[in-house]
Amino acid sequence: MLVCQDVTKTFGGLRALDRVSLDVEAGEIVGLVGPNGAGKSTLLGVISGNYAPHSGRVLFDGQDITGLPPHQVVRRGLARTFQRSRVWPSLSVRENVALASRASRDPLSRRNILGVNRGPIGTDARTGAILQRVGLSDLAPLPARVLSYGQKRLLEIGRALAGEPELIVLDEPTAGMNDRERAGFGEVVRPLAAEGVAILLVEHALDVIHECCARVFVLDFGKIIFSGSPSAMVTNERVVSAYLG
Amino acid sequence: MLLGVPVWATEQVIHTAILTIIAVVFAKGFDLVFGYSGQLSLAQGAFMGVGAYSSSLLTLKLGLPFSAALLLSVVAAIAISLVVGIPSIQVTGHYLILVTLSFSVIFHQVLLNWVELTNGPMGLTNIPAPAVPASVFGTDDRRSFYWLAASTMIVVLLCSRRIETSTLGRSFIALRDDEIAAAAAGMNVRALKLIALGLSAAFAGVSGVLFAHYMRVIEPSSFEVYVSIEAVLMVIIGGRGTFWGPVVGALIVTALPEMLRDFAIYRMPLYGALVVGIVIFCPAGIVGTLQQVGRRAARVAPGRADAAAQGAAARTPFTSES
Repeated sequence: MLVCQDVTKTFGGLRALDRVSLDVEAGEIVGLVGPNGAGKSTLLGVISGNYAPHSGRVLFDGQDITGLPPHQVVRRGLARTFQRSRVWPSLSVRENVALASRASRDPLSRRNILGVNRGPIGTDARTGAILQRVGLSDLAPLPARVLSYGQKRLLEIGRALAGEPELIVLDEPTAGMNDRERAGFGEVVRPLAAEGVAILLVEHALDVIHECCARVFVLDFGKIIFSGSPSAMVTNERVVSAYLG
Repeated sequence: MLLGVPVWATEQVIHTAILTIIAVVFAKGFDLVFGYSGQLSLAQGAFMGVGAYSSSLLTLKLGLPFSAALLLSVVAAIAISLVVGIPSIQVTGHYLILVTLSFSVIFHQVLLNWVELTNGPMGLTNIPAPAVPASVFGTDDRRSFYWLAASTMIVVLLCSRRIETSTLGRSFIALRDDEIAAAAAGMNVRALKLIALGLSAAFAGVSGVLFAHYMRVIEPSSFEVYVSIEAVLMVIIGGRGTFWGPVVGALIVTALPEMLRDFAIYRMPLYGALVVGIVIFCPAGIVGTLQQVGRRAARVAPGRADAAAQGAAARTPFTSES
């Protein structure tokens, strides 16, 4: 479903990504790990259209999406969340979801541009179902700024789901979550994969990787140094030395 | 409150009320681009000038009726804003401020130097007053113009209410809160910014048309960059990104100096103190702060700001003498 072919990205003289290739299939949760500065976030930026790669291609559903701007990438069904929380704090929880849903699905409909909203935006059934799914129904009318950090991460996942994506890229989703929220996270993500949504999970927490992923890619200094199962990863010499130095 | 004015008021009060109405229209437009979308445009005064000059020239030189001139001038203001916006909208923050500031300066120079069209620093005179049917608004020029301006303001307020509660308006807020997240959620950030700029220019254009046909004399200095800065003041004082904030801000910046006539020499210090005080003590502006207090206490009705605070204004179209 998602294929990166020999993606190379340089910043000045620095090779942030060096001929990186990876693939994610429908219904699969694929892990992407690596030490800080390995190039994980850069790779996500290239996949979701924030950066154009120096060379190489990104294919999604067999189509070349290399260099498309972010809003077009997400409209094709490839959504993402960010490493640091990026909810819209002034908007309500349900507006955060509903606006993303409208923007990514039918951005140019007349109703979306100047339609009268009867009642608050986001009281529709779809938005309700998404909030239910990420466990934020009770907080729907509150401004997103009042959420806890972990709740904001969940809201971001809800916002990514709003466009009914085929693939979601999650950038360190459990960072800053407490244990209870972390457990809840697995319960949100695994059913998604069971429904056929592909997930690329960037994560530091190896327990989350072990719990969710069948396949892992390890990135170090811009290169993929390992791909395989999580259990093979922890015994792999190159991976161990990359982490321990 | 503004609406009942002509019944009892003196000429001077009606004059101030009309200038306040023009300022409300102007500030509402600026709030769309600044308060809602988070883009600081310092070209608003120039967009107002585009409206004022186009409408004046269309009525003076082509003899068009007021309504047609109004419509075409708004189109002109939007078109000019897109000419400024399309190449520069991807720059953000300080750079957008510089681009729009430069445009203001260029526009002012064009008004001064394209003498065949604009009559240069002499400005345009004998701009026709709108032909308002006497049977509707009475025969008094100033009073009938007041009714015209007041109805225009109501239409503008209704339009902005509609925009602010629509998906479009909420998307402006998403853009202001986090542009990267907006793009990642599928919003076309560039298009949203241009729409916000275009709408703000349309409002500024309407205010320029009203100004020209009310004063019936316009000159380049009425549309210098300080007019744009007044828009910033109105919106910050009143409360950015709120429905009533720009209205309150326009009232304070425009009408209050008239009320403070007796303290003429203290105007500027008062004015500066007010702005600094608001930025430090209630950065959300008067209406914004009242809303916050209201949400906390659930006692104060939001949006009903007590406009009669304190302050004074610089020389502007909204405070000029007649």
